[in-house]
Amino acid sequence: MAIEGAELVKAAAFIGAGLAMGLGAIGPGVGEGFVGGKACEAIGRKPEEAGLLTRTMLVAQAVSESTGIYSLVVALLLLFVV
Amino acid sequence: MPFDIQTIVSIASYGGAGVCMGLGAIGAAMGVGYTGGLANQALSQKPEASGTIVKNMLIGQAIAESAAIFALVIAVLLIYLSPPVTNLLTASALGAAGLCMGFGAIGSGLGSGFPAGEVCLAIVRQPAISGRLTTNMLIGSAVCQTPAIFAMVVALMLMFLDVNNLSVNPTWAALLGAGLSTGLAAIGSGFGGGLAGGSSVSGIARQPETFGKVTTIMLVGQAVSQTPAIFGLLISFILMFKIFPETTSIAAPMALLGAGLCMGFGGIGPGVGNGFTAQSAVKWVARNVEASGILTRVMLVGQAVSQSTAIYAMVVSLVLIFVV
Amino acid sequence: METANQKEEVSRFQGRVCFWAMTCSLGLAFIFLFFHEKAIAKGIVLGACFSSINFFLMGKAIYMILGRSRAKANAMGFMSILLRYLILAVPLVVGLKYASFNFVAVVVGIFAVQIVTFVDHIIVRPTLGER
Repeated sequence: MAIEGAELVKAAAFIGAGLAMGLGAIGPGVGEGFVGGKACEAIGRKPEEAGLLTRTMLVAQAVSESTGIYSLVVALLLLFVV
Repeated sequence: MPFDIQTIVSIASYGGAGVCMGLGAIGAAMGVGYTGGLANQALSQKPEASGTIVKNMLIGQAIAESAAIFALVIAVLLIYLSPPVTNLLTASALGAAGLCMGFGAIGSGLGSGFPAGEVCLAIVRQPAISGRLTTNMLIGSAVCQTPAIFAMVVALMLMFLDVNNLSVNPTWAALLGAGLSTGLAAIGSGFGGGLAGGSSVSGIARQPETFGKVTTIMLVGQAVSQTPAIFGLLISFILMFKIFPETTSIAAPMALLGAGLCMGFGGIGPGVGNGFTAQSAVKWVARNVEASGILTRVMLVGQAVSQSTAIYAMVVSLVLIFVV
Repeated sequence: METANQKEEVSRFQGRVCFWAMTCSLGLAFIFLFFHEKAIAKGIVLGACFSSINFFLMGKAIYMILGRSRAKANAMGFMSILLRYLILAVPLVVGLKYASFNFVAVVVGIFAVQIVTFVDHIIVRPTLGER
């Protein structure tokens, strides 16, 4: 069975999309969880600053989330544009 | 063709059995070793309590080892159960079952080592409540075993799936993807659940009166940590039971394999991250029990944000299965 | 001797767990025999037997390894793990090869020690109090 070039590209794009999102999710997942953990620790020490600490936690997680969103964008590009 | 189908199926089942037991032993070995290490530390602090410490170490190790025993069951089944072979899909299903159970046992074995180790140190600190500490450790370790049980269920389903009337070309990749999805996603969930269980045991040893609150928040944290494994299970079920039309293209199987890998790897990070959050939250509920309400809320918000990456991975997997 | 006492305590604990694992599995086996499910009954007892042997060896190995040189301890630890897993594989292979043993019952049986520990600590002790 001869495999055409265009189809090989398509196949590589699909598996690439899967790996991009899959491996790209590891880092932000662990990082955001770590931020959440540290925020809980800080609130445990100083419960009266809970509002400020929660806001800071969310900002930090949003920054860390951006790499996950890059992965998502790359995966969607590989799926629908290539 | 130099190989007949029977040979390829045999290669897949023996290879799958080897991978299953080999990978499956890693996590249990590390978990049991961690338990032994902390038990040594506890023994050096209080040699006269060695009986109680060794007793608890044995209980914890027996539980941590059960992930490896699940892998052993699947490996023995793969070696000795020779199913009737009609097409090449059997080879892919058996190989996927081995991979699924092998990867799936890593996180659970390692994770249930954390509470088992902490309980040895905790008993030195609070010998009076050793029964309660053992109970808490057992609950924590048992929840850690859930991802391994998911992996075992998927492995058994893959082994006993009726593949006679399925199309060979895209389905081989679907079965492989189904195995990898649950197997890999279980690593993070097992590990994360273990972190929460460990800190709950040491927290109770510090403040025995917070037993109820700490156990509750531990269970909530562990339940959220299990979510990536449940997403993996969902993708596996879709990949196993959806009927794919026969095709000659190579793109369709790659999309299905990609879907499995995407959900599998994508579940590892959020599982571990949720575990970190739950670990700190449990630890600080034990130390500062008045703040337990706000700590629970912040823990859930933090875990939800960390969960979002697993949800992206699930969306990409679903797109790979259903859209392209 | 203090260490001898402690060793005795661990042995007694292991004996108790194995005793209850065997007793409960035999009880379950009799219930299944009553319903003429001979294969299930035999499978459960076979699995529980090997589960108890495995748990017993696990404790014994610790005291055998204690006090050896590092290289010897490593080798003995590895051998004991290998031996225990081979022992656990025996009932599974028997369950698959011989139709007179139900395989699922064997699988349930090899978790007998874990199940007994759970039931003891999570159901029995909280209701009856510490013994």
